[in-house]
Amino acid sequence: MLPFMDYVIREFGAATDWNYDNSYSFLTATSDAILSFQTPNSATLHVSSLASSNFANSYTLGALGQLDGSISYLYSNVSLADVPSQSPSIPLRRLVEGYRDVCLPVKLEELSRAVPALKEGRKPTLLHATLALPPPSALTAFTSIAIPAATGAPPASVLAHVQHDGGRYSIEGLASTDNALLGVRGLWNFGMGKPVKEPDSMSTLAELGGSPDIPIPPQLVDGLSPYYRRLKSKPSLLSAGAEFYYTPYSHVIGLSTGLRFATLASHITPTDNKKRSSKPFAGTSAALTSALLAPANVSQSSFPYTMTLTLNPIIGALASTYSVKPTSNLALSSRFDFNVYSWESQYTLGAEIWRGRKPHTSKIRVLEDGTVVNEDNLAWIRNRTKDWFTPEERALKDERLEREHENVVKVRVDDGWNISALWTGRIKSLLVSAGVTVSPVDGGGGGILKRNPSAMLDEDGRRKRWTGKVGVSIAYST
Amino acid sequence: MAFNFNWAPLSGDPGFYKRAEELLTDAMNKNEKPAIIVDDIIVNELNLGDVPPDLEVVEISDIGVDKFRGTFKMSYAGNAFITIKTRVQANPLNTYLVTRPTYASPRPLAAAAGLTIPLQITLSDFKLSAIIILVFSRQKGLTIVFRNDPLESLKVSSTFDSIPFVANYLQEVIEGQLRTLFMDELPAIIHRMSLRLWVPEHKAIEERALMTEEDTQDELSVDPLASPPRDPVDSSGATLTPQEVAALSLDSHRDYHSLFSRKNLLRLATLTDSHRTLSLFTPNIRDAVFRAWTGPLERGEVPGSHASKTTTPALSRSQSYVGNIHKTAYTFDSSSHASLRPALHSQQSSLSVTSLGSHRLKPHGNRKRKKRVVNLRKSATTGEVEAISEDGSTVTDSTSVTGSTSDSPVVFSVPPGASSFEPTGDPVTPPRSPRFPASPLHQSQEATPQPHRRQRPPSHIDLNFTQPGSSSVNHEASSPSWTGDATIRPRRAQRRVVKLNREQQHDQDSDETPRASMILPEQRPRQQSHHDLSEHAYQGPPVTHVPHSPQPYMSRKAALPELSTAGPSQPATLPNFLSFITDSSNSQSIAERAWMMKMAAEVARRYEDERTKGRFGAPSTPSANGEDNPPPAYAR
Repeated sequence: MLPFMDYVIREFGAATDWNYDNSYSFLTATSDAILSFQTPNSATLHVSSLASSNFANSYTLGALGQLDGSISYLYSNVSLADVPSQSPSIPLRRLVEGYRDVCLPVKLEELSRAVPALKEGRKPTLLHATLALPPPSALTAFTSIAIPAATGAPPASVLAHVQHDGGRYSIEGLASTDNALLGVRGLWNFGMGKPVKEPDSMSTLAELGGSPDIPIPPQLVDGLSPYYRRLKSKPSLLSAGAEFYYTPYSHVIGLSTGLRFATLASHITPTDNKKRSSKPFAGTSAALTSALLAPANVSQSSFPYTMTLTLNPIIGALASTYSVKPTSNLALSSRFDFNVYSWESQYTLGAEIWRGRKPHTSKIRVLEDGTVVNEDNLAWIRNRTKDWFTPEERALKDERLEREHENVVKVRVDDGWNISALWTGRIKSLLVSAGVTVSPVDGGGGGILKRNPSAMLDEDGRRKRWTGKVGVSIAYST
Repeated sequence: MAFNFNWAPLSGDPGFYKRAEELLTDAMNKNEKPAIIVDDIIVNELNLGDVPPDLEVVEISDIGVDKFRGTFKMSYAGNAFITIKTRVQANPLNTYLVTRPTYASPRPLAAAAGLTIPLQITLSDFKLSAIIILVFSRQKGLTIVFRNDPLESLKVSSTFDSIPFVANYLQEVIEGQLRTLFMDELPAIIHRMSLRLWVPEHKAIEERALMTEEDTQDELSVDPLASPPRDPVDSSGATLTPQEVAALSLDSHRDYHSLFSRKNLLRLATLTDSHRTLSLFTPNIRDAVFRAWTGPLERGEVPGSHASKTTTPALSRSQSYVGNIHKTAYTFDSSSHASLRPALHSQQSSLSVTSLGSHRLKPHGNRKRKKRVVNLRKSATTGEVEAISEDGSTVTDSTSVTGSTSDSPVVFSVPPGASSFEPTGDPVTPPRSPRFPASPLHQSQEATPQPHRRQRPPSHIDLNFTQPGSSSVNHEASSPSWTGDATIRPRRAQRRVVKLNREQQHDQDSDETPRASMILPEQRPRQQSHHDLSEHAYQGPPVTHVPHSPQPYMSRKAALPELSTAGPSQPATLPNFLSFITDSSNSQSIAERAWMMKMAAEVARRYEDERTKGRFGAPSTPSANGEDNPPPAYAR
């Protein structure tokens, strides 16, 4: 479950048409959401409020074993009035990170119009500050003289993060005062090139696009039609990226490259949803084959999926993920980590299951003797009020009811039998996230455990003992 | 002066390296490890090599048998090496992120993926140069402090030798760690190891002090080797191996009597402490009978009574120890000892007290000196209060008065005497001294035809001899009282007969009624039986027994054949209170012994002079008869 502030920031991004997926940072967002979710390990209470359309604050208090907490404030000059902020009304799918449907990185609308915020003449700005209680490690660092100052984190650091989304590409720059860390990230989307064979249309578009006052005639947009259509019908997206970090002080170097292949949401998901009932699901390999082999303009009948491959050439770490969303309520993901140097490997499986309100089952039953019994005592009321709402209103109401009852369960297990489960849903008007993590303790494993006498109880080292943590996080927002 | 540093035996001990590895492993994992190390640091191999470090003695500020403090200059370029194993995080960015809060961290996608690598590091070619302050004491173990950073250079060879970047990093990190190890951890490790080595020694300190009182041989011939204690220590506090214990025999007196069970001694010490404090805890000592203190006044005279208890050797050993330690000035032995050996006066520590205590191992001296100061109970048989202190003659008058006027038990004895003596400013002049008339010599003299001739307390002689000023004060203080005493002599003369007899009784009795309740279990029943016998035999007609007074003594002698060396018929021999000097077990060294012998001869000569001059004859009747009353009796 996203913290409220992160949710507001996401909404801010959505309000300013920011495409989070077009960033190297989010290359593996789908698999991370399903496979690397964090389970709370204490009781945490979040109280948040979107006090005005531009101002939000949030208070966090966690207490179990240790006390921690934070106070956050946020200001945005973009009105967030239409962002649902009350905990019963926030769509859970926006609050819980799950399978991310990758959108086309180039807004087709941008080809025809400018960004509205720019049109208003001022830049969307968001200020966010968090004052957190120092973590226990920091407190012990204050009181203890044993920690050398050189290796510890500096008491304060500033991180600057500049992102530029160019549609076909995305580039980010990072600079941190902590050890003067510098970082660059870049992402390139393949197959997004504008057609070079139509210079006339391009120049026309460039001229006309440069002067936003003049509306673009539809026929001119139609002049772009081959490119436009090709993008619109593009079924999938291949992206490649890299990141590089360097700190001149401590000579820390970090480097990784990544590759992502994902089906595009705008094409696949709607058709998938429509055809889901009529068509049986295809296997993943068949889906992959059809996605690769089918013509671009043929709408896919398969389900969305995302594949990523990341490589850290410095330490030889390879990670490949495959995430799939067979139904709108289920997402599966798997990841295989491998290190070419140490040959360490790990395989992780995870699932994300959305559960909604049970569909309203008809309580009309036909008994053996043929009499029809309507067990729903309120059926007549429903019949009478059936026409009170317009279909649109009824859809809204149903959606709200469904939203209030939906919850999501995430499960993860890896080959070391580390099992995690997280449930997020609503209890009354509170957003509750409860998680449990269970992992085996093997006697011969880590050094710390080896010294623990209770972990040595297993005779042959084969029998496993289990350890785990349980936590719950409760959020209320207005 | 030469020092012998043994380097090779350190590495010869097979258990040494294992222990050292464990300690080093513990020390290395105790502190918060750098984030790059993701596993425990395990010391895999340790070898001190065979090249010893060069030590140059810079300064020795304190040296003794059990302590040493010196400064050395050490330089080492040997072939010691140590191999440690751990697992490290090979991705520095991962390490970087682990140590940072997540709020403003540049969350990299995959650049921070971890790679843990098992690492084996061999540290060799140590080049150390340091100024070491070494402090050793038996109590506190060995402490080594480096005054400067001792590490000059070392060679770090690891699995990353081929990667210069990592190798340099490791070298840097390890040198830093090693410096803290040398400066902080190594002294602690060495100290712990030394404590482990000398912990029995540490405990034995207290027992060594307790051993001052230990002596069983003149009480009963209990063979301590019949059931040797489980954790024997010798007189110097060092633990004895079973072979050494077996090598001891009853014949070698000075060895075996100092063979005590540490546990028992500690118990006795606890008992002593519980008497001296408000502690209600009483250790459980088998076959022991405890007697409560007789009264607050007696408790008030703790120093004196402690000193007096030294006269009952077996029973009040630890008590007398305490008295010796804390109130050394009040005991005759230590005072004379100190005055005899002025050079050692400042060293009146537990050690010298130990030797003093062992003086009393001498059979004869203790017999008679068992007479204690406080003995003011109403006599059960006569109903007469004999509250007479042997202490000061100033007290004598009043005590005699009380004795004649009241039947109630009068608790009155040393404290006034002690307080009267104390203001003289001579801490060596003790309330203790009057007790010496109770020695067998005096008794035997009382049995001689001149019963009125009182000997002056020998301590006065002693003091006179050693410290003229203070002894003269004592003389003045005591002589008027003697005259005063003489005035009432007629009454007392008659009474003294009774007292003499009672003194005999009490003499025997006092063996079993020690104030300190420090009891050697096995001896008690036998002793009691003897005393009961003698008491019953001679208690009936008290007055008529004056001439027979030596007889109980003799009978008891028969019961305790060990005591026969000194008899009542040897009045001209060296006084008993001085006999300890000749005891070979007293002296620490030959020279000391010879010196003590000489002084003893001198003292004896003076003593004889004084005696023949008749100066003792005067009146200290009460002092001789001080303890007529049988102590509150558990004995019967």
